[in-house]
Amino acid sequence: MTEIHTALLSAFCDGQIVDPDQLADALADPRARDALVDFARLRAAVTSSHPLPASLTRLRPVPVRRPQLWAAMAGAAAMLVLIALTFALLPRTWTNRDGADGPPSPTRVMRYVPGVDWQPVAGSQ
Amino acid sequence: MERELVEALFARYREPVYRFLCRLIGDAAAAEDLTQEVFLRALGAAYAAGEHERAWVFQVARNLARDHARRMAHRGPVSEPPDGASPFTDRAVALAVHAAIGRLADQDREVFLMREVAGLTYDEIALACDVTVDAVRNRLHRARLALRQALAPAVVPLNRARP
Repeated sequence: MTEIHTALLSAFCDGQIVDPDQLADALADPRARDALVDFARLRAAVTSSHPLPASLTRLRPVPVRRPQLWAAMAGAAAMLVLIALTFALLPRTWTNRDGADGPPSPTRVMRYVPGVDWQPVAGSQ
Repeated sequence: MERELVEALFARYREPVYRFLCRLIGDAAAAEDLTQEVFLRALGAAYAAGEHERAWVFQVARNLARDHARRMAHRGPVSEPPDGASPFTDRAVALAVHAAIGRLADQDREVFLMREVAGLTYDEIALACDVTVDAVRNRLHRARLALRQALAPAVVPLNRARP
């Protein structure tokens, strides 16, 4: 028996059209006949007569999806992030304003002495 | 696809799809869920039922089974045939066959079960598995030889000894 014989018998098992003369040649060999019977045994071994489970008596409904709920949850999450960012950034802004927006310290002081650095003019105060 | 068409597909193919998935993934409860999922997928699909509808249904089933297998990769193999023993075979042989099928290469196992459990034609299997008809023929032959070799000690003596 060759693999050509078993390939022919395998195809024959599946209802394929095979060369009758080659089939006769193959079946003339007792080992090929045994192979054919074993192929039939394999088919019988995977056949099940068990009833279908009750869950497969009907197609179940499509699971309900709730896009509104997801949108609401996404919106709430975005709001939380926004609030958290606001609280995180606000104190830093106040701190910076205290330091950066105050007047600079004087680097020198100029003093004007009346009568020396300027002369009072008549009629002025 | 409309619900009525999918209901019709479900009525036609739920049994072979379930039997196929049971044998392929080795878990009856998961096969029930996946069988429902196959047809629920059809509801949202653009596919219109035609002459290759059975191939299309089994392609979806095969893809879902592969996804399931990836998720369950950490689990061990199932030792029991999930959908009960064959009426033609001893329990010991059924167990041996189940284990031997589990040892086939993934693609050989899919092709073998589509043919032997679900009864798909070579053309349908080729479409479902995206291979040529020649590849289907070769894989079936290879799977049968591998199973025959693996089961020689169990199948032949047990069955030939039966009255």
